[in-house]
Amino acid sequence: MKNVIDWGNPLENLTFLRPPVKYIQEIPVLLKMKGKERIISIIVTAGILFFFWILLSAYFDTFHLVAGLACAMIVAVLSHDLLFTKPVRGGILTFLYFIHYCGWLFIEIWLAGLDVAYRVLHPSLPIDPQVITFETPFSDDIVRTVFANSMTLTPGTITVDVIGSTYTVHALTSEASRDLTEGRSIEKRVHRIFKET
Amino acid sequence: MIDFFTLVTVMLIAMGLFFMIVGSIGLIRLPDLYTRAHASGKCDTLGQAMILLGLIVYEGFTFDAVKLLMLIIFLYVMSPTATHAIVRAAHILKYHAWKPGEDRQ
Amino acid sequence: MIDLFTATGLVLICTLFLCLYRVIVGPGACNRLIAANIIGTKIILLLVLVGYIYGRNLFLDIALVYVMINFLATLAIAKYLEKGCIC
Repeated sequence: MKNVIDWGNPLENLTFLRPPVKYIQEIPVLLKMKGKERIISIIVTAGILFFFWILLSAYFDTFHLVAGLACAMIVAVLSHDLLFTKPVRGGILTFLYFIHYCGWLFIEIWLAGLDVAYRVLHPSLPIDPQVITFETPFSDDIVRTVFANSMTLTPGTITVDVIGSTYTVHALTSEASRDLTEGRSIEKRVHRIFKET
Repeated sequence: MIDFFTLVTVMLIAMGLFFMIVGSIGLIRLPDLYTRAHASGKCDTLGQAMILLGLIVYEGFTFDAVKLLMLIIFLYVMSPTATHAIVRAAHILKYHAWKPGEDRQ
Repeated sequence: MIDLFTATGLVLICTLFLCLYRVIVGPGACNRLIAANIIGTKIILLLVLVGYIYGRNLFLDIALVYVMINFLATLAIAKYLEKGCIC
């Protein structure tokens, strides 16, 4: 009589490593860039990587600089299309708008902190939370990310869910939700940075 | 005579500590998960950025100051994203959103 | 200045215990995860302050790496709670 123990397939038990069928999404197809666009994308990626190398090493002799440049170029050639899925565009004007936007965001972050501090320290806790849903005209992934993160940092709102260009937002007060659906000041500013190029 | 930069450092660190303490109190005092995410995503990030900014003023213009600046930028990109991930998980798990007049959770 | 940094670190540790209350008591996993994320970001500040107290700027590099690892850990746990798998 054979005494065989059936261990089963060991990989069968590791179910947490495999996605359930309903969650498998389509992997977005990477755009193949050619010629000038490809070279610009490689140079920008290598520049970012080389800046980070200098920041972390803080040595300025020849060996470290050459080694860092070589590593940055190799990594950039292999994986530049992971960072920029579209051709890089935009000039100095976009950059200036971005700086202006960062300054505005800095003031908004201050106001948001003071707002939450006032509501937390007030003895009667004056909050009126509500969940709202609204549409935006953005189609690019980077623009959507910038808009969602800005909304989390500005007073009274956090982004809960993003499906396509539909945003679900949790607002701490009714004024904040009214500002989002009627005033739309953040949306106009984000629109001006990314659509003027 | 107190140095000007020392004074700015002390003020920035004091304000940062104020926001950190308020964020932690809000984490205990607010009634449900979504409002707690407001306290964690705004007050705490602001407090951390102020303390790191005070350290930059103390440090002066050196290489370590650039590292501290990178730390602030990382914190400001990552903190809203992490808050968004947690709140989205709670939304999908159907956590109840608190309305005025209900019991706190 | 070193006294100021030490005092800042001590106050930070006190606020860290307030967050620990939410980790222990909070109903459900998501409340605990939010409090744990805040504890992680406060540890970063403590690392930088310890670096200044002992006069070693090596701690800044550790803090830079810790930011990224903390972010990845939070994202992974949030995704696990949401979908039941890390994918």
